[in-house]
Amino acid sequence: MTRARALALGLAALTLGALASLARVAPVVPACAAAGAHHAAVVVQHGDGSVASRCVAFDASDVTGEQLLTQSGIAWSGQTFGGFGDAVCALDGEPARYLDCPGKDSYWAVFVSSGGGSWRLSNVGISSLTLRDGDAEGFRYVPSVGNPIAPTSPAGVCRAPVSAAPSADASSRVTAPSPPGASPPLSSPSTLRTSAGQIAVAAATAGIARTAGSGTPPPSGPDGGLLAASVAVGALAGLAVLRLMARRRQRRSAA
Amino acid sequence: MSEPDGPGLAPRAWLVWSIAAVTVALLTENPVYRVLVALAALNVLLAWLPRERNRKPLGLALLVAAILAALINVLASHTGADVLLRLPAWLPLVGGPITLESLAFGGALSLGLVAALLAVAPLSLVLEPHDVVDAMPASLERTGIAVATSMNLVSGFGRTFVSVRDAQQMRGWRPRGLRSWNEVLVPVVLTAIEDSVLLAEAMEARGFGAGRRTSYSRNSWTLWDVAVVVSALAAAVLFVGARLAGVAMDWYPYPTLALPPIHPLLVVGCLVLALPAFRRG
Amino acid sequence: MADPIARLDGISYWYPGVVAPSLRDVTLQIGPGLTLVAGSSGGGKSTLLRLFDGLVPQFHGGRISGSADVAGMDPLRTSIPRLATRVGLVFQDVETQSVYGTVEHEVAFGLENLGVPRSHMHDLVDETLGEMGLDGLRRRRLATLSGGERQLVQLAAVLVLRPELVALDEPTSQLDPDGAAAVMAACQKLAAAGQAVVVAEHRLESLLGRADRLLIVERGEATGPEKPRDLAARLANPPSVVELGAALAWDPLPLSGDEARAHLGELPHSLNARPASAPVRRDAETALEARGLAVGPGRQAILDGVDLAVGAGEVIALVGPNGSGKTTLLRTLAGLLAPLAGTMRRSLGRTAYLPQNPGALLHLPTVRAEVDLTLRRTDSADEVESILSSFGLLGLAERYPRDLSAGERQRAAIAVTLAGSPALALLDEPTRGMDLAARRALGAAVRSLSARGSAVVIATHDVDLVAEVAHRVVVLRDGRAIDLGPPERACAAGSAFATQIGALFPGGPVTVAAALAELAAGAPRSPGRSPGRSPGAAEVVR
Repeated sequence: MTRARALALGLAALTLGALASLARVAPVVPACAAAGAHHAAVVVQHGDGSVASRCVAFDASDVTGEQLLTQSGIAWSGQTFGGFGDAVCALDGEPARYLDCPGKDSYWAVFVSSGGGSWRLSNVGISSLTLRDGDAEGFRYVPSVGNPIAPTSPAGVCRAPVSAAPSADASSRVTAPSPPGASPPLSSPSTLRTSAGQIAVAAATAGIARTAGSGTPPPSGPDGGLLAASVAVGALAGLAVLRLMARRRQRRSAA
Repeated sequence: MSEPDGPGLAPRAWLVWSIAAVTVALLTENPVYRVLVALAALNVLLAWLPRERNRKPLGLALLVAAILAALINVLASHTGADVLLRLPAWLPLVGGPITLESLAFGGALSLGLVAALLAVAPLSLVLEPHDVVDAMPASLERTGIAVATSMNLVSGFGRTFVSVRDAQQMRGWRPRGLRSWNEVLVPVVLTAIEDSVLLAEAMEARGFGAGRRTSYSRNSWTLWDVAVVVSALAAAVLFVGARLAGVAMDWYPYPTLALPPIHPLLVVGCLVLALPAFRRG
Repeated sequence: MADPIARLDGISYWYPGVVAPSLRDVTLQIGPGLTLVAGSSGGGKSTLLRLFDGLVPQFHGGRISGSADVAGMDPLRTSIPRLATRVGLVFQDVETQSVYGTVEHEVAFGLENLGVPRSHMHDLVDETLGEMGLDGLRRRRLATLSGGERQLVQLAAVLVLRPELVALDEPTSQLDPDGAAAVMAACQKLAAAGQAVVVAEHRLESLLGRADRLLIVERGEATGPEKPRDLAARLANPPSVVELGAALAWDPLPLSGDEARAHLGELPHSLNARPASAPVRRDAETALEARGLAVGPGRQAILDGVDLAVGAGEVIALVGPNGSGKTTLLRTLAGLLAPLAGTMRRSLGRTAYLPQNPGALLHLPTVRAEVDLTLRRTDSADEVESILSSFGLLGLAERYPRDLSAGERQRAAIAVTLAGSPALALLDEPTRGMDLAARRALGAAVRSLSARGSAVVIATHDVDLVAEVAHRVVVLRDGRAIDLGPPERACAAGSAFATQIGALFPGGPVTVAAALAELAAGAPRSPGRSPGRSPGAAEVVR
């Protein structure tokens, strides 16, 4: 019995340890100095390296990636893939024309940053993504083969800038072919909001204050789930091992 | 007059539990949930498996199913960012890059199979044939009997197979390629068919097919049965509802491997399926 | 006959697609008491029994003519489930008759089918289990019971429906002697209580003397039912005492060992001298030698310390109850199972192995093709024709083996397995379900194998076969193998494996042929042992 107990405990400890190493320290929520209860950033990096980024405000506690992208004002077209959700076929005019979605040579890779952390490749479509206050949604046009590279960091997209020019504000496309379909003007409401935030000092103060404080606790959805799952797996596996050992012992003593 | 022994849980409760567990296992592609369901079902199975029953055939079946499912996906799907090795492209179906992602997806598939098999196993390993018959709703009773009696026969097939293979080997047969197995498999199948005809004959001679049937065993429902049924149904409903509400329950590891989203509530739902493992006394 | 339960009138039946009828113009009546049905394999016994409860023609199809009445119902037209309330049928194979896993549920199966209310079901099951003395087994799982116990359960499962006629189709062919005795005793008890019981059997030794009527079915034609004594002489496959009595023209013909003892006084001289056993070639090489062998199906040994030496041309009989390890030992000797301990040495040459239920391995279109396959595979110089003829299969050579009757299939499978002059032949229960003619043919084949130098080991319950062919008898008991010596000793009176003849002549011959030979030889070679018995003293035993 002792050996089995030790094994079960070891299993549980292992899972907890793995979890601990995976857990990230709750990052500080970057403040978004614009109107609206919550903010999330959208970063789009084209194949040539140029970047367009927006800070989008929303009142609900969470939004889908699709809603966020739409509200950001950046032009995009997509295609639905059943349970996977929507895939982005063209974004901000690239590619100008497409036959395959996702494209065979290059495609739009979707990334998610939770609470200001590093980019993580999303494995669901934007319509299945859930983003909360402080998260960011990133897109990068990457070649099909090999690992997709993450876009530039979303840090500062939603931060109240102290200096006049934020790091990544308005899009600066070097080449600008006429985008297909309807494309809202670059001076979208969200950009205006950001600009307004830069001017308003009070908001900036609030933003700084928000930066300094602990603010809302980081969304614990995925991490909490991981924790719960790890504990559950450890417990169930340990129990199963215990039972197996007990049966083997019963068999030996009966034989 | 003494009451016959029951299977601990009412047969219908077992049936509901099995169906709920299979539903959950197949409804989600998320390997984490599938692992949880598999482990819960394993616990339940180990808690209720009678001591003298041999586990090996089930274990073997699980292993074979899991390996097959994973292998099929690995070899047939060629998408994904992390390439492990490249097979020559001219090979039909399997030619092309073999990626880590397709291995992972294949692993998720086999996990689903394993979980489903473990969920259904108690119906065959824990329940007696007459319990399976009692578990069926009245309209499916004949089906239940067919299933129950075939369970009796199936255990004989293994012995027939060994016997025929031994006899043919002693006659000079050697397993040389796929076609040579005809000499073993055909007789086994023929014997199996004959045995089922004999069984059908015996059943008819005892009045099977006369019409309305009654049941010898009385299966009264205890609080425990109700608890198991309610919890299993709750888990199934939870997952169905989550799917309908659009909560991400699938896992698409392409183009790059990443951890699937895990909802704590759904984890609890999977855990709840392990309730029958904690039987009283 | 007072109030027959069943009446057949001019019944002729053809199985679907078969030209020759399986039953020809059968007219008979079955009454209360024990009716024994005897006949060669494939002669129509099973078909007749299935006629009673409608399986023939309703389940098996085919063509039928004539009329029948069973317990007031017409088996040709009444549905089988309805007939099940009047006629019960117990089949040969326990495994393929069982529906459920536990005894009480198995017995209740028929009642469930008929929609009997639950409380009444419990009462009926209790009653039947009590009557058959199976109360202690009520909760047991069928797989844990012995063959004899399982057949008794199947009998109970049929009796619980309170049928007017109970028919049993070769119920003991797969059982060991203890199990067979239990089933036969149950049948007798039923018959004595007034139930109409019909039993089809090849081994008639225990029932012939106690049956109320005998019915002979050969080639589809029925003779009887008559009093056994009147018909016994017409049996094609009589038990040994009947054969002896007929050869010595004893009148009235003895039907059992006890009745035969009454005729001993008519013999010219006592037959209590032990005849010389068949000589074994002492200089023969050892074909198989095992020392300290331990065998088991798993990791636990069920036989230990087995020392066995079989010379070329020697025939060893392995006897013992089911479960004593006969099959496991044979498989180990065949090389199919690794021994757990000890050593085993086999001389060069092919080993032939005949498993239980050998019919299962046949699948080619004709019997000839199967024999041919073995000969080709083993690179044997033998001719297919000679093998077919030595096993009496020339008439069946072009038939599909799986269409043959159980006994015919057994014969075919043996021919297929033993073809090709193996150096060592291992046979597991070869005479199951075989009639006397087929058993004699097997005996002849074994002797010819032995004469050609093959060593033969036969695991069997059939003491007559043992007496006829074996040089030595080895019994497996309590995990050990004990040599009982030649059949003259092992099958003699007082032994657990005594033949009818051996029980009749203590210290004397054990087979009919040996007894007749000794009588023809004249005066006894030596006085021999005759405990309490002097020649000429007639013992009245009844």
